Amino acid sequence: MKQLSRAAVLWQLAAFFATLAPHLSWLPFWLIALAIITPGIRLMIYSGRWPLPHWSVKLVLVLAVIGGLLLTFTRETGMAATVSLLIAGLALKMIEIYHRRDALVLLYVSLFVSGTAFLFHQSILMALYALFNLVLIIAALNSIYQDPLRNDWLRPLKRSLRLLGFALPLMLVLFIVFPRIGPLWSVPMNQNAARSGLSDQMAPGDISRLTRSNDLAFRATFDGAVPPPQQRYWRSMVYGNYDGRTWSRVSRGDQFRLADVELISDATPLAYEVVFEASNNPWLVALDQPSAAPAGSFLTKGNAPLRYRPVDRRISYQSSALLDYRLQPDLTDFDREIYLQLPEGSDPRSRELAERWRQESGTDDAAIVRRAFELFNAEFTYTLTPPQLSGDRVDAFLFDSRQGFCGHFAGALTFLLRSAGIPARVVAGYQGGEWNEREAYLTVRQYDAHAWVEYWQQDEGWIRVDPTAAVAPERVSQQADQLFADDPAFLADTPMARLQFGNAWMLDIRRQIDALNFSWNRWVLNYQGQQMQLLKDLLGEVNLTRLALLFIVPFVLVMALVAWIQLGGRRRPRDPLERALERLLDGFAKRGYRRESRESIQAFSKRMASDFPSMAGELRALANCDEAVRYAARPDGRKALLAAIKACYRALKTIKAPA
Amino acid sequence: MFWADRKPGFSLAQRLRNWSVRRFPRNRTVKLTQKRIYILPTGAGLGFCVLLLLLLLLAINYENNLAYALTFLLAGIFVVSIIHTFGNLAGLQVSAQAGRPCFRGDKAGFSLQLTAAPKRDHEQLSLCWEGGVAQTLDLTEERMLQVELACDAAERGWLDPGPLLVETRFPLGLFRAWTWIDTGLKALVYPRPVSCAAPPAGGGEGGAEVTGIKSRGPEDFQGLARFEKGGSLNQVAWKVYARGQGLHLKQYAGTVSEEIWLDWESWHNGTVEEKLSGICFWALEFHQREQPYGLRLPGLILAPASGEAQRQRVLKALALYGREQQE
Repeated sequence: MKQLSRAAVLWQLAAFFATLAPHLSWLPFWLIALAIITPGIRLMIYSGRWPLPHWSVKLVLVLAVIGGLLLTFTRETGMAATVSLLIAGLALKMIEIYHRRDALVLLYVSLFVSGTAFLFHQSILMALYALFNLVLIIAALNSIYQDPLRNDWLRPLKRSLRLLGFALPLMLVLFIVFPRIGPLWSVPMNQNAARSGLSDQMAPGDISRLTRSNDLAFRATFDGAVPPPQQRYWRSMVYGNYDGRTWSRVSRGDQFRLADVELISDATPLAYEVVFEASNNPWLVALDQPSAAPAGSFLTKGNAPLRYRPVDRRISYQSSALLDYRLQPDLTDFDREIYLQLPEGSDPRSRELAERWRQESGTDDAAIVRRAFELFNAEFTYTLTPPQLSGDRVDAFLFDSRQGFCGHFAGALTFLLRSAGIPARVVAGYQGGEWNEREAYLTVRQYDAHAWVEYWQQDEGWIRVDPTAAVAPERVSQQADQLFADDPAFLADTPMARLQFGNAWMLDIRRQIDALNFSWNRWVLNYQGQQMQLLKDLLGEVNLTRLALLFIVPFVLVMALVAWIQLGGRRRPRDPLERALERLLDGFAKRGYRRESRESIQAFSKRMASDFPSMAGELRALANCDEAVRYAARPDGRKALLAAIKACYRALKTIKAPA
Repeated sequence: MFWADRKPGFSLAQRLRNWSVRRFPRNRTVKLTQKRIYILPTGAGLGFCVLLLLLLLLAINYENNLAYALTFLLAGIFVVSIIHTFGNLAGLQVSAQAGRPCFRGDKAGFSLQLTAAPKRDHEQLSLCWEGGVAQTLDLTEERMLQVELACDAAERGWLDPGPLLVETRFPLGLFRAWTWIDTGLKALVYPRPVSCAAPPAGGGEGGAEVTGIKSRGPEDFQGLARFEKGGSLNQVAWKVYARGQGLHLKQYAGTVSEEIWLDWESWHNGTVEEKLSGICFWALEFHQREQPYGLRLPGLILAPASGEAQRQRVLKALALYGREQQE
């Protein structure tokens, strides 16, 4: 058993704390305390102030930790419990690292724990930190194999950097080529992060709640031209059910696709890719109208994409949209009934209004929509902070408060249309988004959440109408942040974000950071979505031979470089004196004069003085200086010798070397 | 433990070792090249592979690309460390210099000179003879190092320490690079000196009377002489020294007329080794007293003389008695 040197023990401490740091945000308090106390004990032992702990002390600690873990993680068996257990083990091991084997266990477990940190944070900063952490752990690993008598702290660090520097290109090659397969077994995810986003039901005030947040909803890139703002309707859910209070998804049929919904279009599909943030809900977004479901999801009866599993981490998917379409030109009686459903006897005044419009317009459904728009435009106010509604809510909104947000307008219009006998539904999703010109992608945030209406016409299918556009047309043509900039309720939960809007350069910085994050999400965190395309771009055609070449060629190149640097001998940092002397001797060698292996500097200088009379003075000075250094041991002797060597070299340069 | 960790025994490893030693001619100076360096992962290296596998499982099951990246980075380190470990041994020059004689049961020292490859460091090199204790050293600031590597001397005669094992696990302990060198070094192992009460008197050649040891009575004491370098400590007049009068040597009346012979024939008891041990003890004793002594072994006669040369001659003759003459 090899004992650890003191330097190695300190390196273990550094590696341990660096590994612990990213987990501090979620670890139970007592575990953090333990992780600080045990290295403290080790330091006291290290400095010789405390003796090694008795076995009973260790036993008590182990039992206490087991008890603590059992109490803290009563039901959870997720990664948090596992990582806590590993960290507790590390903290306990900290007390008794004496031997090489103890340190090995500590460092290997630390490497695994530093990998688990990515389950909690995945930002660029986290990745950089993990790299730093790895430098420390590898240095700690090197320190236990270093000469125990060597008290050089920096040496392991340098070795670690040299190893990592060459491992990076190898990592890059593996990262690009290694095939990504799905999970081998299902694992419990970290559920403690509450996400904001659309919910599967809408009370009229719900969407205005979302405008208080500037959390990212998703980002999208397009294969063709980006659609204009008026066409950026991202559908996420279709609410067909109304219970007099909230709109919700149709319980029968909407969660399952019973039959294909007919979608007819002559337009070319617009292909795009979405990087969707974790929401812990299964619904995705798709640009009106999705022609096919993204991978891992299906299209509901309302033609909205629904994933088989909740989005528990950031995902990316490809889809395509038909901007010009006819959706479901024929409606079955079953569906017709669903989209005409209204709660018994509610909101009599609204029903009355709809029936009056119906009588005045005859069979012209579009005229009824126009009448509603005119009404909204003339007498309604669009606001983020509408008054609370109660009782017959549609009546209260249409005839009393007349203030509302997109949810109110969409709900009320659908109610009116259904009352007039027109099948209609509320569609919830996002509208608009911020286009990043530089990186060519669209950022959609929670405050872009929106609700609109689709009504059905024979042969034309579902027609999208946005009653909000009648009240506040700028909501559709402008970005939400510009529109609401003066509204106190907008971004009320994130005051810092509000500040940023006021300032042009702040906005620019924010955009750049956002663009960087987007590239990070797209190319690193969701690389599996890009892998095939990238490999195709790189290789032309993806086959096994080319993949093997893509892996082997860079691999061999890197290894050859490492071998060349490691084995070819790097230049040791040398004494300037030695270097100057070598240069001078090389100069003489070029002119055909070599110093004999046993010839002293003095003897050589004297010999050269006879062959190079022009520089005899300098050579004599050199001989004298050399003698002074060797025999007189004068403190300034080396400096004088260096000067003499340099003087000789300058004199030598004036003599031409034979061609 | 992985088999690269095992010390060579009568197994595949031993056969491999013998084969690898025989591949190269015996040479006093050997430069370690890729032809004679072997490298395999250690137990810790295999543990590291298990860790990589666990991290890969984590990455796959959580579809976490950063965990993938960490796994691949560590895999890169694993691969790059092969070259670092190899480079820590390659280019090293090992010169076998000499074997230092010893008495049976002691440790024979073998001196080796290690020279670093130009502009490269060698750290934590471990050298040992088969079954011996390893010596670990660094070649960083010093470019050349003199090492004395001991080997147990269990038998009298020429000691062949076997092939020299040079190995290293630097820098991360994931790999072990090693080589075996047949240095051709040998050391002479003298019989172990064992004191016996008195050497029997031996019959001189040609009838001359010979006494084994002459007792030193006070009548033989002649006087004191100033201590000179190389003088025997047994003859130092310690009482005089204690009086603060400086170091002096006691001078005795020489045993000039009598020759001392250590005669094999006069040792009657004991085995060959016991006899040799006894002769050895007395040879050293006479050497220390600076009395000339001769040796008579079956088939070998060394005329009486004193001094270091005689000591070495006698001890060598004793060491090789009954052994095949090797040089």
